[in-house]
Amino acid sequence: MPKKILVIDDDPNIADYLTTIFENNGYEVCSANDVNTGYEVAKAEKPDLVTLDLEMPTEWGPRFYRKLSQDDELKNIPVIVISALSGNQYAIQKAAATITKPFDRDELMKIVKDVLME
Amino acid sequence: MFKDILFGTSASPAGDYAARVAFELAGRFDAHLRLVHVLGVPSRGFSYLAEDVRTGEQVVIDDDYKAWVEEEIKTYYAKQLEKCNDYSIHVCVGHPHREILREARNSNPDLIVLGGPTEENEGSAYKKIVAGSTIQLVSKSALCPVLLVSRPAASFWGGISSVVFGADFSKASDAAFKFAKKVAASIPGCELHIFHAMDIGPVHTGLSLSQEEIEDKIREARKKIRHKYVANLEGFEKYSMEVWEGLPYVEIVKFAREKQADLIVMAYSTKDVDAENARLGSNMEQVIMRSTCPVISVNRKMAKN
Amino acid sequence: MPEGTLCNKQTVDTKEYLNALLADKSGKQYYSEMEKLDVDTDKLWKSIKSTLRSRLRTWLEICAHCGMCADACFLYLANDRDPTQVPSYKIQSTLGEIVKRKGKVNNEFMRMVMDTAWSKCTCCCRCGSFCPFGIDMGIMFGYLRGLCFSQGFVPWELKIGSGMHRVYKAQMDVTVEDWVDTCEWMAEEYEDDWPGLAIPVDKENADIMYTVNAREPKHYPEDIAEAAILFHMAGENWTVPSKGWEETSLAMFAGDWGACKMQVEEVYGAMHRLKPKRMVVTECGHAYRATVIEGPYWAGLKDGRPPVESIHYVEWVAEALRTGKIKIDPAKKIKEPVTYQDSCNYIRNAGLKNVAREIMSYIAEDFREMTPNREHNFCCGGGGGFNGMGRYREQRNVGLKVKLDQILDTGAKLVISPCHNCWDAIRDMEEVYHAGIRWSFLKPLLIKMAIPPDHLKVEE
Repeated sequence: MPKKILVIDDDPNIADYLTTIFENNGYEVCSANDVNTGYEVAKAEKPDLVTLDLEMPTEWGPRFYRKLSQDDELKNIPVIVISALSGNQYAIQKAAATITKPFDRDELMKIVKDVLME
Repeated sequence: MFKDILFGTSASPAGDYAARVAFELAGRFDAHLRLVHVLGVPSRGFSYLAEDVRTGEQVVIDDDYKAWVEEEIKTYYAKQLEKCNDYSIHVCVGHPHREILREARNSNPDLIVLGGPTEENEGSAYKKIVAGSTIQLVSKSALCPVLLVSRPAASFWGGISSVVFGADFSKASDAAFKFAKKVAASIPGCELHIFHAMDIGPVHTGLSLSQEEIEDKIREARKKIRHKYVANLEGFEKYSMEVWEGLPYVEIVKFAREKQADLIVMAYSTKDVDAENARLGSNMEQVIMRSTCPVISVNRKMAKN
Repeated sequence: MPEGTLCNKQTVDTKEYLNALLADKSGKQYYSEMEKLDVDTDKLWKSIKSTLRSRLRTWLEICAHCGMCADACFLYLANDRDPTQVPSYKIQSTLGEIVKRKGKVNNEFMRMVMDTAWSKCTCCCRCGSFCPFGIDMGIMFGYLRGLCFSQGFVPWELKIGSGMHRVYKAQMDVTVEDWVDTCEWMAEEYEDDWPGLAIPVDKENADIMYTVNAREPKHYPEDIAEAAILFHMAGENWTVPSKGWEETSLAMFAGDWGACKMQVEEVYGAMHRLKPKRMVVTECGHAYRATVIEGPYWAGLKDGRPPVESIHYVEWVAEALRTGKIKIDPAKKIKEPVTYQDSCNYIRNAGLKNVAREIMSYIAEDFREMTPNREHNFCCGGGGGFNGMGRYREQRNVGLKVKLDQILDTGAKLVISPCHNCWDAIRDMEEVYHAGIRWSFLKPLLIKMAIPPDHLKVEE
């Protein structure tokens, strides 16, 4: 069974781009464009990995992580931060990795595989 | 909650994280954002030269120069200003803390946002002695809460929904509690965590307390918290209280991180701003430098309001 | 007769003229106009004939060129004993020449005179105490500056400075409203820490009327708050005037005697209006000289005294410590080595040396005298306007070295400097030479050391 990745990003172009890359690499992908929907999707889909944008309308990425980590069912899902903000590696201390936009697709896949221990 | 936010900007990378929070809060609360840039410290006696804080150059400050700096600020924050509906830029000359306080006195904002301890504490002895620490001096004298952001980690929360109130039982602390409660109450679903760190002092002094003594004191502190604060939280659902022992600034930083708090509110309690020791800083400054979220300082003056 | 629009023989009496000068960055246009400025030789000679009194004439004539004044001058020492820095040479080649030529000097000569009068002498008057004839070149340069000013040959910043006094009755653009508001502000800001703290404005018949330096309200009003705290602690009945609060005189540095008179009469006016028992001036040297020592003569007061007894801040501090109005916590005395910068204007030129030592005996455990000291102390290197003039920045920085060496030789890293000019010079010294020294006015140190009376103690 393919592993499942949840993409959370308010920018549809980025979300599509990530989805395409992941699908091309054989993953199942679900997505959300804000923190609240993301949390709903995570609960429903129980993904193996989440990629998370930081700056989004209404709530920012770290809030999603807070919700996730307070939920016993979801708290062990690894999160990769993907953001263009400076200093982004400090945003979520327990994130599995941080990737700065714009990113290299091979680099991204390497990190994803590494986090998924593949 | 916030209608008028004064942001003391350096228009340089040192203030980027504070800027992120200032712009985000202004947008979120639909507040007027007042960017105050103190462009230079007057020097050389009565001369009309000042040292431009951004470039370090000696410049003659006149209206042209101020206008030019204002343009620079607009360029520097172009991206953020594009999304900001209501802002004004104020460029002035003088010692940063004094000019920020002067502008605050004129415009009466309900929040001042400043970058945390940065390179202004480095460099010449002059800056250490005369300018002291801008954040200490502003925090001590401001008539409104002062929000401080130092680390990049403190700038990613985008809003407020989990507030840690660091209680120290001083008069200023009462004002800080009122403010923390007001913030939490104004935001639906916001959590309020009351925390007190019992200072056990440096362990190596050989004066360490026994664990029984520590736990007695913790019990006492919990009782105090219940009487002073929890009793005032009627109708408030999402709150908690904790007392830990240790080095206060370390404990509060750890607690806030654990709670994934997005705001720490604490009292500014030091009466004597000792500029000479400003480098090492107070307990609060240590918290600002280490915390993973913004810190709001509330001083004793606000106990009156 | 070519007169510039900015550089001319006019005094600055309007905001428009003042703003035009300020808009001329670093005085670029001003100094280029100066190169074409005509010397009104008739007026110059007439003025010399009517104002060069017998004392100065005699001094010019009896100078024996013995050179005793050379080593007295810090600028001579700082410039590797350059013979053109010998005080007698400096005054003979300028004022002496003008008198010899009966005022018939040209533009180039006057520019040389200006550069000499403002960059080779700070009017510290140290040379006068070493001359066997008592010739005081500092006094003569003060006179010469007046001649230069009347001919329009005055450094840009000082033309502005004297204009500020004329327009604002203060050395900076601080209006009466700004001043009064700043006093209110400071009382508000500090009243929590000091219950009952107030800065009473225009209170009549107070024991003390306090006057300041305009830079305090403009840039560091904490200084005013600190003065208020100390008066409050000492239980003084004091006040500040709404008008006549500025005691400094850049006009004196500029040689604009008309503005000097205007400024000092503003302060004396406040004394007449409020009838205080005494006036206390802030920690400023030249302001004391201008208002207390020279001022009465500018104002035409025959007895040479200000309308009410006027004392320097250090005299008030010594008195407050002596009488126990302010009590020092012995545990909080300054422990580290500390030295004291004797300001020429109130130590050498007004005799307050012992008062300064008395203060140090109350507050410092390891007081280190500079060598030489008291009335023989050197100028900080920034006196007489030297600190503030861009045209002479390099010369000023060279001049600072003598004081720096004096300080370092004491082994102290902390310099108490109850004079704005000295304080600025020492700050700049640190900025230029990075010697690792610190400096302070008395007020903040005293507040830290004092034991507040019980009724002023605040619970945290």
